[in-house]
Amino acid sequence: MDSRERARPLPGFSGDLEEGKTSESARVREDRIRLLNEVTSEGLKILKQSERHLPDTVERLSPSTRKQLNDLMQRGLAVWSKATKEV
Amino acid sequence: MPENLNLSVENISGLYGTRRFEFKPGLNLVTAPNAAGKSSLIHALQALVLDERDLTSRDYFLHTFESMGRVELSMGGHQYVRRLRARDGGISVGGEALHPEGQKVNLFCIASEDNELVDRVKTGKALRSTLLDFSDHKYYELLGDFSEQQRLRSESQLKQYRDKKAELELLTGQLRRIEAELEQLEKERKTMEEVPLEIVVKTEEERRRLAKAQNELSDTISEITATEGDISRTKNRLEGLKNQELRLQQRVGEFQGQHPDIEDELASIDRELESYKDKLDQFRSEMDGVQARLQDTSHNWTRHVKYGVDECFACGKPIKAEDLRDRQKKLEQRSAELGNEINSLQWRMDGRQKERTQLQQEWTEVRSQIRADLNNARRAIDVQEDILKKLEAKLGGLLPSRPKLSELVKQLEATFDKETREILEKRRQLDEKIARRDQDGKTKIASIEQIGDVRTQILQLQEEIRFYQQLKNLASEKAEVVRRAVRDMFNEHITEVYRLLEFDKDFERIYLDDGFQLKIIRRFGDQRRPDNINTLSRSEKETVALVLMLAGREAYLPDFPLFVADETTFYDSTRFRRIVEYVSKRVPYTIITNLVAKEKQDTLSIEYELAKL
Repeated sequence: MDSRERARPLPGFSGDLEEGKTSESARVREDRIRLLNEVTSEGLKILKQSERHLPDTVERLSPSTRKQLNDLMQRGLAVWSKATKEV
Repeated sequence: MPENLNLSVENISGLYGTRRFEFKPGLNLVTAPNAAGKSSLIHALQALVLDERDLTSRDYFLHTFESMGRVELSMGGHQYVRRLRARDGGISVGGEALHPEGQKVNLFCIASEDNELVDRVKTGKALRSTLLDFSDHKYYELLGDFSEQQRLRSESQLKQYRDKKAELELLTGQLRRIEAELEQLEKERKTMEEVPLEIVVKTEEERRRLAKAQNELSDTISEITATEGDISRTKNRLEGLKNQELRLQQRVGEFQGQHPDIEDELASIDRELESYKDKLDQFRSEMDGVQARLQDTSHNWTRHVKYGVDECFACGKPIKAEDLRDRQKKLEQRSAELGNEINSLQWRMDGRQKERTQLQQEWTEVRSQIRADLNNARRAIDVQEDILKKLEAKLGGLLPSRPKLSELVKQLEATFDKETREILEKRRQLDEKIARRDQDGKTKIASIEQIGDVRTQILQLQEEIRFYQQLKNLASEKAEVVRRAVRDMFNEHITEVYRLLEFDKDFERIYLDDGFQLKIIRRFGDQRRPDNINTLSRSEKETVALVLMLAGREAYLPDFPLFVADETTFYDSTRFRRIVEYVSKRVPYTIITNLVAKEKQDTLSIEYELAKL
């Protein structure tokens, strides 16, 4: 994944950090809280859709679920990092 | 008004063939004696609701002598059909489940003897996982664990980059020291005394001439040394060869000493052989005469014997017979003597001839071998003498040039500008040092560039770790919120149910604590006493289990239309009856199985009045 792709906002997230000029760090903090909530809720959806019988440990998650979660976190991380650069 | 439910069961558990049941809204009391199919009916309802993955036990769900079974329920204008087929020791399942969350239904709406919740309450086991697994709690926990795993991976990468950073800092420090040293050296170089160009050129020319003369002198000395070495080695070889020649000559002398008159000895043998030869000729001549006379005598004897002639056939003189005999004998004797003499002489001649040949051969061999060795030695001596002459000539040519070259070097050294030379040498050494330091610096810079983006990577990884950490915190927080919400919800429903059931006369409170352990506060008159679940009677535990089931049903499955209970699972029929009354008022269809004595009833039937319980 190249840096441009990593910086792309998470599809479906309201992670557009371009707008707003006041209180930069407060805005970023709010965006980040929103981002974390969205990643969590998206992760929950992935687990519910992919794992009918939830395993006891992360290691026992199916490769497909792990990949989906990993992709989700990478996308979330890209938005998170972009906000850091802007601050 | 809810409609009647029609259930068709075929070859499920103990129910053989096709059996049909009709359940009316409200209470349905399935009464039967032992082994008439009450539990099988519950198994059929479980087969209808459970997920395919939970329908694994062939013996539990299928009739012993059948490999296929079927359950069908008509409800709300919809047909729910479950087809079971024995396969590989288990079951394959077809058709649609009555509810998408079969485990939940089985846990909170079917109170049979194998109900996990009932079992856990009865045996005093923890309820945390049983009650929480149906909430989002575990999803959040898994999500938190996944984030934590990612964080640990990033931490591990961060450690690697920090090691690289340490290496980078070390290199940077080394580079700074090199740069400082370079700066110092450059300053030193600038402050060095300047030498005019023509003097530099002249000094350089002198330096070259001196270096050339020194090289030539050094080469000449080396060549002289080498030639002297060659001469010495050649002389050694020559001496060795001369010694060899001497030894060969000594060998000739030794041989001649062993055989001083060898030529005389050979001549003497020759003379002896000659005399033997003469004597042999003499004997042979005499032998020829004796043989001729013996032949004549034999002829005359033959004439005498055959023809009676007694005269010589040669001279005609008269011969007597007895004279002939005597003469013949004497001649034969002499012939034998001569033969022996000839043989003896011949043997002696052969012996001497052999001796002579051997002596002659030895002498020839010795002489030719020594002569050949001597010749070789002399030739080698000639070659080495020739080499020696040449080497001595070469040395003779080299030796005079040595003092000349030494003199030239001395002259050049005397005229050389030592001061300028020292300045230039110092400058040259300084330039070399600067070049070396410069190269060191470049090498360090190249290494630093290789790991140059390490700071960026560290910052990025720190951000990643922060992200994963906060994600884990949020997931854990949400898991905790859910856990509390589930506990509170259960507690709320438990309170509601036991009040409605009027159990609050006996129990002040039944509740789940933070760890999902069941706690009880017992009421006795005005007294209140906390009690552990394990101190309850069997009947009380069963009641609490049913309360929990109903609370779970209220919490998770408020709209599910069935509640099934096997009365034989419960000990206290009075309490059970109160619970059934409570349930049948709230759940559209309540199905209770009830054991009756075989004497009273020998088949399974369904009653629709609570009074029958």
